[in-house]
Amino acid sequence: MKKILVVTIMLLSVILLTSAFAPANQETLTIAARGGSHVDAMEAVKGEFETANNVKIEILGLESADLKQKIGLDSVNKTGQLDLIMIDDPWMPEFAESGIMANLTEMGYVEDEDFAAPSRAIGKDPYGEGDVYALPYSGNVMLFFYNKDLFDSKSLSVPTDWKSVLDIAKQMKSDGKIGYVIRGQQGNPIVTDYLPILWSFGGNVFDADWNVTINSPEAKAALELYMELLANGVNYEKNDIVAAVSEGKAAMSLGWPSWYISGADAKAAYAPIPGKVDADSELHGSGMIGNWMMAVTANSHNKELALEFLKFVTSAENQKIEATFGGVPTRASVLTDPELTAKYPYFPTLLEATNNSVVRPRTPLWSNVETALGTELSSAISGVKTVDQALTDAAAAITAIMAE
Amino acid sequence: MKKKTSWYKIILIGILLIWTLFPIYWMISLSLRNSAELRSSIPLIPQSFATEHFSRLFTEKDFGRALFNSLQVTVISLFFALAFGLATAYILSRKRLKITGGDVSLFWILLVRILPPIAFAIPLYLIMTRLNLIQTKIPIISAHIMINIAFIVWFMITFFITLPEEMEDSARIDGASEMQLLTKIIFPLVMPGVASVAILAFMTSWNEYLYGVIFIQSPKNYTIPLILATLNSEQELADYGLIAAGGTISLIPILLFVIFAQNYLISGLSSGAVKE
Repeated sequence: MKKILVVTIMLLSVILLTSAFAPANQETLTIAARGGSHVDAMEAVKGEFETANNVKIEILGLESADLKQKIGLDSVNKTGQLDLIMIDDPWMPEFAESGIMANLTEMGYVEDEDFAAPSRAIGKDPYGEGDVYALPYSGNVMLFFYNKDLFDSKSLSVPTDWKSVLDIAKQMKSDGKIGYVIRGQQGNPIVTDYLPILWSFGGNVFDADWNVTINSPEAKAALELYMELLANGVNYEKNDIVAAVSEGKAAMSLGWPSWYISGADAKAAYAPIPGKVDADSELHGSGMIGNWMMAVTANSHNKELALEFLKFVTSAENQKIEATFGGVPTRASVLTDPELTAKYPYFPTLLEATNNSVVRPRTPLWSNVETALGTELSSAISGVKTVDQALTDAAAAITAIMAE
Repeated sequence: MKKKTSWYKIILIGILLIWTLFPIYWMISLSLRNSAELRSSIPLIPQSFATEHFSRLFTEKDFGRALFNSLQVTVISLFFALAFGLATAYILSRKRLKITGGDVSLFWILLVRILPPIAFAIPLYLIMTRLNLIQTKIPIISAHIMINIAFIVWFMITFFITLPEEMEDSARIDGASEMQLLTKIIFPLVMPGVASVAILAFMTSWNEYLYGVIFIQSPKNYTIPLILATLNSEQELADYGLIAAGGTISLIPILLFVIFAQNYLISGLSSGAVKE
């Protein structure tokens, strides 16, 4: 009995050790991607490319911060382990400055105008006008979500300015409902929730000459409105926001389409984000764009094949297939394709919102700026600081970051 | 006379128990509810029973492979960490290091636990890449060996120091070899310590995330913590059912190992060469 046990343990050890130490030996393209539906969508179409090119495509799905860290680490290698990388659009300036991405224009890539123009602009360095470094893989733009039953019960129409949003929130609160749900957690959540309102007020974090303008009168008015919305609503994280609005406990919120819409089903009604302060004020772009881009790494061992896969996976034909696996198209022709829009009626709204979208400031230091701004916004809504103090401190912190 | 337990002690113990056990109850109960129940405000007591999250983990997320990888990395690294760690702890406890500076080396070993893991991750990553080993599981296994050796040495050294050296001397006089001395005399006496440190090292390796993210270069090599991390995406809503099911499954190997190792926790009490 003891001998059998020893032999079994030895055999198991051999299996464990050999598979642990054996490297892969087939030609492989490795993609570092944001985990979730992006990976599922790519997995769904990669087989055809693998067969045609006799190559294995390996897709590493990672959590967002880990993805950025992994890309950064791999970029120091002469020949990288990663051939293609997915990039959240605010990372683009930082990655371009670090030389992580291959210049696709120099590799012979010709710009494809079927991609929505704001999405194409993100992939260029300098922003909107330089060479192409990345292609839009996943379309995403923030929308305004509302509970249709609650709106219908009060015969309300979809608001197109923020004063109307506040009036509706107050009305809902007086009826015992949550008027508006903010996403006020420190860092990225509160910044992405506040910026569309700031833009609607005509404000921004920087002016055209990169002077910090986050303590401008527009920014203060926007933050005061944001806090009034909170006074007539609640502060939730994303899962609870979606549950509250879709079940009719809350009336309105901002959000990314992928939270509310999975496949053909939308959990709440949607519209572009209001772009005006009130009915008479000037209209501004307010829908935050949040595309996931995809690029070939500068240190890829097979850049040409990686570029071919990038073109393959972002082609109109494959975006149509990927849409059925949770992918969000970035091509106008796919977003308006009659067959797809019959199944996913939000696609034309997404294209419209993308075409009117606003991009977050294009600075390699955006991650740090976002952290500093998020901390101060959070201090304001929690009552630790006044609106004036919070935005003055945010301006000082961002100025210090930009001076580094 | 039976001592009366005061009511505030009962309340305190009750609060501590709920504080400790509630997250585990919550995880298991979430994993067994259907998706509809997880969409809205979730009641404390499950209103439905479903195993869909467990089956989806294995059919959609390749969780079986991750389970194998976690087991492989943990078992191999634990084996080497215990072998080298116990030997090092014994040698240092007996001050039998031929070169001077045994105490310095003890602090040197502790550095691995004092410094943040990322401080080692980047140099190790570069070394493994230069050696062309980054595509294998060697980097993650060696990282786990590294973090556990330091822990094992520091944990076990006190156990070895408390053993009387006279006992080893008498075994030597009776003709025991060094290996016999270790396996027949020393180890049976320190078995409770070995079992405790093995349990803790197993758990460290099983749940380790940072080195996994940095060193694993293929989805085929994903361990359980990596799979679970990708289930909560900014892009989509968190899939509570899948995360809870993954957490519940990942508890099972740890529980089995603890049950196996706890036999040795008490074995040291009944074995031994000296009674004081």
